[in-house]
Amino acid sequence: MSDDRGPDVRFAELFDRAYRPLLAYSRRRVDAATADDVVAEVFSIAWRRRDELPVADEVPWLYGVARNVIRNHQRSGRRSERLDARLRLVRDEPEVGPERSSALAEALVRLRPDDREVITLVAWEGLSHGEAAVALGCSTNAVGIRMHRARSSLRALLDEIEAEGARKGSSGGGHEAHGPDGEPRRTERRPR
Amino acid sequence: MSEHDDDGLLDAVAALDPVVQSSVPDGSSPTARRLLEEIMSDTLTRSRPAAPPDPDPTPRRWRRLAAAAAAVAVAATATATMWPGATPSASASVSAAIAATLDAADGSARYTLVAEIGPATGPEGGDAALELRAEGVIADGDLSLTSRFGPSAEPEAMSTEELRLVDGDVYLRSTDLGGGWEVAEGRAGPADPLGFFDELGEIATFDEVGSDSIAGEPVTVYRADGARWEETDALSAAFVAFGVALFAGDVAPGDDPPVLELAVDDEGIVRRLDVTGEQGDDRLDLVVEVFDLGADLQVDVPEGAGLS
Repeated sequence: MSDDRGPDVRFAELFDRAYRPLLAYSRRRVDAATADDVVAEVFSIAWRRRDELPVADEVPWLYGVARNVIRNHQRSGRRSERLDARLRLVRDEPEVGPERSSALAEALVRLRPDDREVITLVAWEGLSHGEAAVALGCSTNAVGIRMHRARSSLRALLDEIEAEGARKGSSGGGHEAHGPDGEPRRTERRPR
Repeated sequence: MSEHDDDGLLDAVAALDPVVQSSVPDGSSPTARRLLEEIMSDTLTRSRPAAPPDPDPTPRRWRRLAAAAAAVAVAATATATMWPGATPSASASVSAAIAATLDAADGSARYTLVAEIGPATGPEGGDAALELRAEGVIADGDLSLTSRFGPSAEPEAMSTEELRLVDGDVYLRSTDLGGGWEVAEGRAGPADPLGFFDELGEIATFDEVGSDSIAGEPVTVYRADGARWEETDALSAAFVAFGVALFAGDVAPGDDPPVLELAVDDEGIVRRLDVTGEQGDDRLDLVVEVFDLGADLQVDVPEGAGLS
């Protein structure tokens, strides 16, 4: 597949198109200052490899680079911020109802990182399975299977958390659970 | 949500998005313009950066595909031991049928594969089963495989991927993205899906369990007892042998050994392989039917491959 535009023009257009979604992707996973660094690093990599950018999959490809860059930042421990902490700052008025939102956020935190990544790539970044496959470096079918399993796991965790809440609730209100960061988290009782 | 979301779970997750995208600066913001200017002024090198271990996911994908393609070449990795108490006549019939099938094919055949992935146990609450449908052409070590994958209840939501293995080179195209053919890194050995039957032939411990029909033709069904598969994973091996692992990723063995059946027609030719097993919490059914054995088939290098 050929592209008559020069690589520099293609890069500038890609930058305009992808800057915001990539910055949003990064801010969902790390603090704002680190997110700026991540985006700068991603585009620097893309610039150095501008002759090799996959024509049809440029933006999903950038997500894949960002994913690895973030993983490196988190490995090195530089200003990393956990997703669960960010989820606690989630909207004041969630669209799914405060109780279910709380339980779902908790379930999302407990989900295996790989499962969480594939779900959020689709739900937050709005990627199709094919685009998520490019970002994750696997086939579209593999994303479909991963999504199926991730959804099953998320649903099971949600049921478990809601059942915990109902049990605690029946003995007097919400309960405290501990997240992966060891900080106490309060889960509200959800009426059944 | 464009992807399959019949229970609204993805929409609910989307509502938890901690970032409001409209509040994020776009590419025209002063900060972004400064960054762009700074990056584009870097004309020193185009060499790959050393910092990220694998910043480009695409080659990794191709490496995996090439590795999986190599696995196709060696067909199933299943190794089985002789099982005392086998039914000699049934096992002998299966062995003879497998030998006759390989002779008839002489390296060329077509096959269809249907894999269904669904809940193993428990209430599912509206969860749809997934389905993989593939059509394969084997031609003297080359392989063409077209697969459609997605929720069974929504054919329009299925994605299509195509693979060709020609003279050791692997080409892949995903119609979901509308991209062209791309070439995998590395080379693969010759494809030999029917070699999986040959591996089965070495087991020779089948029992006859009934009869069925395929396209109106009567067949006899033979089953390999699950106990014989304790040391291996027939389901995974079958996925690998017929190239589906190239698309579906890793197939982890389940807790229980899979049930494996072969259907042999009146002419003593293996017509169908049926493997049922578990993978994690899922149940997987894999059915492969072979036909056009020995037909004059050819797999060509896709037009425009590697030019993207």
